[in-house]
Amino acid sequence: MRIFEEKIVTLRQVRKKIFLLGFKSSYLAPRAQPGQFVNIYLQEKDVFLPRPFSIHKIESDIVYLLFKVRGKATQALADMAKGESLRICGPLGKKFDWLAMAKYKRVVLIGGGIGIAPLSFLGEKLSSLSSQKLLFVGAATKKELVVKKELRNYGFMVYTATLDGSAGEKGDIVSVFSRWLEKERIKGKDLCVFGCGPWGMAESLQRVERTYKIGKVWFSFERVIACGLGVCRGCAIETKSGYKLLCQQGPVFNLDEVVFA
Amino acid sequence: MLRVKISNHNFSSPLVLAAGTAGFGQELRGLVDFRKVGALTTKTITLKPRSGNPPPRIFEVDCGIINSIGLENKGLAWLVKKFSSLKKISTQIIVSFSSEDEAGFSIIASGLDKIEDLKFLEVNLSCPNVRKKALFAQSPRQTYRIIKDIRRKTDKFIIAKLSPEVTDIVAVARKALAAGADALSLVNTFFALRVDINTRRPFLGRNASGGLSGPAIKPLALYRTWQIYKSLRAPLIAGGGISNWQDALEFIICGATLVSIGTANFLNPQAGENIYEGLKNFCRRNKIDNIRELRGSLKV
Repeated sequence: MRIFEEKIVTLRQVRKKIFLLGFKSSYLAPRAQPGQFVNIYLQEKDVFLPRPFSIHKIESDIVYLLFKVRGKATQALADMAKGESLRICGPLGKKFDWLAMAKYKRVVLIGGGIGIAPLSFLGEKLSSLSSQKLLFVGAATKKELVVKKELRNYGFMVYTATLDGSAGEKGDIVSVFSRWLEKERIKGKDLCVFGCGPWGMAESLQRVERTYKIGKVWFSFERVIACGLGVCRGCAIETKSGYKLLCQQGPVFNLDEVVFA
Repeated sequence: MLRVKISNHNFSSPLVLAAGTAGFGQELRGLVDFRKVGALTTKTITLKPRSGNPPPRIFEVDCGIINSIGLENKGLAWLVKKFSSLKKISTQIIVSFSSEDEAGFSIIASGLDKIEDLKFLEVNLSCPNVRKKALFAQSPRQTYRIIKDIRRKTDKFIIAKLSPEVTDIVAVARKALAAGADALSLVNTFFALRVDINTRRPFLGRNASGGLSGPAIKPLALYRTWQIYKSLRAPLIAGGGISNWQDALEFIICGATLVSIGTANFLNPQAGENIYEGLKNFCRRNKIDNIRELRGSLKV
């Protein structure tokens, strides 16, 4: 892991409030693995801590981040332009052992809102697996729904949902997923899931995991991260075996292990 | 130019990485040039391992952060075992330690005394996130007793870390020195609270409050540094919200022998190096042979 500066090579809005940002990095591109993230040190006056972003995808030596404008930091990032420099620290977090997914008959990726961000990178790695591959993507409205074309190309069957019903099924994506399990009479143990999204989604996914006895569920969590280096001990999440640091033992955790307050 | 001496101890620069913001140094290997840092203060250790406070533990506010980490650490025995690898870092190592009860301090001090290569102990009397009762550093009497007990156990260099949350910080500082502290470290964080108006709950975990650090507290910390310096002229490791070399210099002018860089390490793990270069250039430009010439030079 290193701290480095790179120029933005692409930055464009892809959906409502959702932006795709790419920077060239011959250091990061060959090293980063699915599940990992970078910290970006913004020079914005009112932004204090660095902001963590999961790696969306890597194409040759260009690293892409997909982010949603949520506050002043992400707005500042969205307001930057091609050619401007970013100060980046990465790769951070633990590499996700995606090969562990290979032993399941069915592999499911679930993204809630901007939780879709890390799934493209992972989906690409999974493209070679012979398992059945499914992608569930949900968002609040059609305008915020990001369905990545590349995931279809990697062999994923795609299910979508929006909270207001403006695209795909109406409802939250975890409910859509659990209805699918019910309808298709899927045996939970044949299935593994990788999810990413807000905390509420993780909690409902854990309930589905336990109801249907799903083989394995991993979840990539979000949390305020101060240092990203394991120094401040600030990004703890509670698990059955005590507190774990999101920046070191995560951000991907075995969902069954996580304790919700 | 930036070398500093306190009694017979040499520091390559007046910059100290504050406890809890640089881990045990190893986390920052390859990112930080430790030769430019005078000392690294470890994360505070306690007698037994502590799992820390319930999350969320960090909340960003204007010009700072509120934290409630709760001294998560692996305990004294771990540190003792680990120390030989810590000392490979090319800077002075200060081990910070704390205890929930008075008796614990001298037990830990005895344990640390056995580490031959360890020279500096920082007694954290002021963590805002572990005790429900008052902080030790809020009582001159308790401060005196604890430091005195530690002094009986060890000849090592003792630094007492004070809280800014007192009516008279000079009174506490005086007691710490009278009990045998070699230097004082200030300031620890200020009690702070932020509320989510929708849930009416605090933003931090189950402990409502946390400790505020960052640029927001700089003027408060500077004031306390000057108060102690002008009354006691003791060696001070002072800081609070230092982000750049100008901030560091302000603390030196107010009497700091060494300055501590804390929260800035999160914003930029290389903050220490940048401050080092800035101070060096300043001294060069102003024909200052050694930074100590500026110590306590506040014109009032």
